[in-house]
Formats: sequence, structure tokens, C-alpha cells
Amino acid sequence: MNWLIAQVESPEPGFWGLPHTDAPLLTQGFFWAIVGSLVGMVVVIFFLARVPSNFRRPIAVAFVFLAGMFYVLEWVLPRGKDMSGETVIPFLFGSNYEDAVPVVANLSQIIFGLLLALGILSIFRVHFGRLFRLEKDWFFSFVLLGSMAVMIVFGLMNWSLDQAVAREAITSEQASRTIAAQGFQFVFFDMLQNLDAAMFSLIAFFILSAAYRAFRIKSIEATIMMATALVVLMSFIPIFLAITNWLPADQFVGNFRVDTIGDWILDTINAPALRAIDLGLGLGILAMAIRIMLGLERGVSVD
Amino acid sequence: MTNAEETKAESRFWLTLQALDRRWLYLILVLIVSWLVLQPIEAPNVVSTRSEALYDYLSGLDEGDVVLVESNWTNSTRGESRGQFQALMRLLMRKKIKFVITAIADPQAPNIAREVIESIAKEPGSNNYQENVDWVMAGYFPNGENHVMSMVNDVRKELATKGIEDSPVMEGINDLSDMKAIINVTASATILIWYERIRNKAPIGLMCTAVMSAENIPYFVAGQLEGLVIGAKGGFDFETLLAEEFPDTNPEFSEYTNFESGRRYMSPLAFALMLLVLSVVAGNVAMYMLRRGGERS
Repeated sequence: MNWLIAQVESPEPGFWGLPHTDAPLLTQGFFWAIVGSLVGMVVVIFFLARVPSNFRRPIAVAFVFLAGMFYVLEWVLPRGKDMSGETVIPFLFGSNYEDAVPVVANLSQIIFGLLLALGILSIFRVHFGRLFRLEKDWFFSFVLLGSMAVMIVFGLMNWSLDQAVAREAITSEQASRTIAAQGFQFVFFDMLQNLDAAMFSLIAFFILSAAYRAFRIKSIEATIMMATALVVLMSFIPIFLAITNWLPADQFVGNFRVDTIGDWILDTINAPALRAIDLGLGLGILAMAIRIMLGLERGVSVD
Repeated sequence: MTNAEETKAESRFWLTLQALDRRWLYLILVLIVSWLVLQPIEAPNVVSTRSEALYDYLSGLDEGDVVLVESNWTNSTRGESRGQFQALMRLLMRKKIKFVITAIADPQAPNIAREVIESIAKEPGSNNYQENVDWVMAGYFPNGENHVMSMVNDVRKELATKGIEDSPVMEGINDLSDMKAIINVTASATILIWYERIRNKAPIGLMCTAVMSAENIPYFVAGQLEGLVIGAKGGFDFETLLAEEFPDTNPEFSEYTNFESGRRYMSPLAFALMLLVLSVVAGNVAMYMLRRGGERS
């Protein structure tokens, strides 16, 4: 059914976009499109701000529904072939669904960019407030804002250096000797990355401590679980693997190799159990998605 | 010493073993790991069939083929992901397979990937790999779901947002199915998006952290994954396979680097895991002995 011959004409350039060209953007009316979009956005926000509060929720839910439906449609719209034999998914105004995807994707990337800006604004509001009022722990706010500023400055400087190297304005050798590149090397690779690694390595201590204290055999189930865990753990350690490595893998005794037992547990016991969990999880997510799209889930949309 | 005193001393010993101060465990762990990082033990390896499957697939590709490498790791999982990524890069460069690097999990990921690629490109055997000629950096895409969907629908249009669609690497790539593989080196659940959206356009290979292995093995068993490289052991597996294909005993490959982070991190990890096994066993033995002592008295 999904592969009906729909005989849809593949639009060129189509409803969803202009053809890709190297011509200057202004000649394509892009400048006015951007200005128009910004003005339109301001107008929409202005009117939304004046909408009575009991109407705001239905508007937000309608947007959520439409946005969610876009992704659902990919799986339910019938597929067809155009005159050239290309697979198309007929969509709005005779266009191809697949042409709409990059447009929506770009829109979504822009929204994500705005969310990042929103996050930065929130950090500024909280931490500048604490810093100016010299509230408790103001020094940490100072460190946070200072680190952020340093990282942004060196990040941007390094990015512009990369652009210069790409334009062949300077060589990468010259770029690496600049203060910008060395500063970025210091704050990003020498500091941030090592702090990142150090933070994550603390987990080893917690795992060791937790395993020692909590992994106690108090029932048959706990015994089975611990035995299984130990065998799987051993199957990832070359020294343990070497103990049974001499057993020929293609003979009956090969079944007693640590790696064979470990693989059997993972492939034969773990895989079906996880499939069952994934199925349940998938159904749960589906139900939750339907509730969110229909505005039934409180606390997610505008309440 | 009387029987009662002996029993008391014995139970004190087991009690101490059962409730050992965790700082002792931490100290032992630090000593073991530090010592083995500085003095690694060269343990023999038994290569996993999952790692071998991915290696064999990539090794069998033709010169000039293009693969997409999604690098979604940062230094927080360096112990596992770095060894995997290094070995993958060595294989691709030695086989002259072109690659596009993207990232969806973390904005830091492209810079970390670039650092590794640039250092490996200078090694003997890496064919002097050049950015924008043999490989290209597409960078970070903030919305993974949309990015993957767009890549599947129109790879050129999606990569045009980063201005790399006309790179020599992209020559002949008009659809995702023109790429020979999608390799996801990841420390988060980014691979799930590909499972959902790939539409069988290209084979997927996964290099993940050990903690993610259990949830991804069903996809390998079902054939949705071409190969699965798990944790530090997976990195060591890839390095072992590189050493088998490019042995340093052969004068042609004598200057090649096959082993690096994968093997170096393997012995500290192995001994840390052994310490974990021992501590679990010790805790349980102590609990059993104390129970038995309680029943006797």
C-alpha cells in the first residue's frame, strides 16, 4: 500500500525551497525573506502575548501537534514513484515530503540555537545577579562567568583562525603559533578536556565501593545474577580469556571457553530480555507521545 | 588463646573484611591503575567476533570509498572511545578510505576528533591524509534527530549547511546509500536515532562504551549492525587486528603504529575489574562466614 504508483510530479525547485546556487544571496530575495521572517516573528509574539491566558494552551498544543505529526507522517504517507522512477512521498501542494525534511530540520536547528541563547541568558541573569549583590558563593559565579568568557573568546578566535587557514590566508603552521591557537589549546585541550576526563574517572571509585557493599548474595536470584555478571565481566578481560583460550573453539569443549559462555549469555539471554524491555518501552513512549501531542499530559506544554 | 577468644578474633576479622573502609579500596585502585598505566602488561588478546565483523567489513572496502564517521565521544570516555577511534582512523587511512566526520552528541566532539585525526595522519602508513581532500569535518549538528533524518533524505542538502558538499570527499555521494558505512563512535544513545531512521541505506557499525553494550547486542544479533566494538576491549581488539594485518615483523610495515590507547588502557582496566571481582567475592565470603559464626554460637 505504501508503494502505490502515485504519479506525483517531483517539483523543481518545489514548494519547500529554492535551488542551491552559488549566486549572492541578496539576489534571491533572501535578505527580504529574513527581514520578513523577523518582522513576522515579532508580530506573532506581540499578538501571542496579548492572547487571553485560556487560549494560550490550545495554541501551544496545536503547534506541538503539528510539529509532532510532521515526523509521524513519514511513516504513514503512501510512497509513490514520479515520472523519472524516483521514490516520492506526496505531501502539501503536490510537493515531496522529503523536500520538506531539510527545511524543517533547519528550522529545528535554529530553534535549538535560540534555546542555547536562552540558556546563556538564564546563566547571566542568575550569576550576574549573585555577583553584583555579593550573595553567598558569589566567587563561584565569578569563576563560572570568567571561564565562560575566556572559552567563548578563545573559541571564536580559534574558529576565525580555522577560517583563515581554510581560505589559505595563512598556513596551519603559522596559525598554530598564534596566541589564539595556543590559548585555545590551553583552555580547551589542556584544561577542560582533562577536567572532563578526571570527573568521569571518579565513577570507577563509586562503582568499586558500591559493588563491594551492595553486591551481596542473599537469595537464589542474587546468586544467579552475580554469577552471570562475573562471567560476562571475565569475558571482557584478556587475562581471564587466556585461561580457556587453549580449548579449541570448534569442538564441544569450546563451549566452556570464557568468551563462548560470555557471548552465549549476551546473545541468548540478554538480547531477548532487552528486546522485551525495548518493546514495552516503545509502547510507553508511543502512549506518552500521543498524550503530549493531544495536550493531555500536564506539565509538558503551557499550563 | 581460648576457643571463645579465637572465635571472637575470627569474627572480628570477617567483620572488618565485610565493612572495610572504602578509602582502602580507593587507595588500592589508585595504586593498581597508576602502576599499570606507567608499566602496562602485554596481555594476549582473544578478539571478539563482533569487533572482527566490523574490522573485516571496513578492511574489505575499496580504495576511495567513502564512509561517514559520527564521532560522539569526548574525553570523559577517553579510556574507551579514544582507543577505538584511533584504531578506526588508522584502518581507514591505511586503506585509503575517505571519511566525513560529524557529531551530534557534544559540541566538543569535533575538536577532539580532529586532534586525533591530525596526529594519526602524520604517522607512517597513514598516506599523508589531508583535510578537505581525503577527509572532511562537517562538525556539530545540535539536533540529532533532525540531522539524521535529513542525512537519510538528502545527504548533500544537509551537508551543504556546513559548506562541504563540494569537497572532493563528497565526489560521487548523491545519497546516503553511496556511502559504504556509517560508523558511530559514541558514548551516548546516538545510535538509536540511526536504527530508527536509516531505512537500510548503508550498513552501520558501532563503537560504544562497555556500559552500552548490552542494549546494542540485540541489533548486532539481528544483523542491523555490521559490527560492534565494545569498550576498551573493543579498541584493543581493533588494534590486535591491525597488528595482524600490518605486522611490524614485515619490513614494509615496521614503522607502523598498531597499538596505542587500546592496549595501554587494557591492563589497568583488567586489573581494576579483577579488583572489583575480588572485592565482591571478599564481601560475600565475609558475610557467609559471619552468618555461619552466628549460627554456631
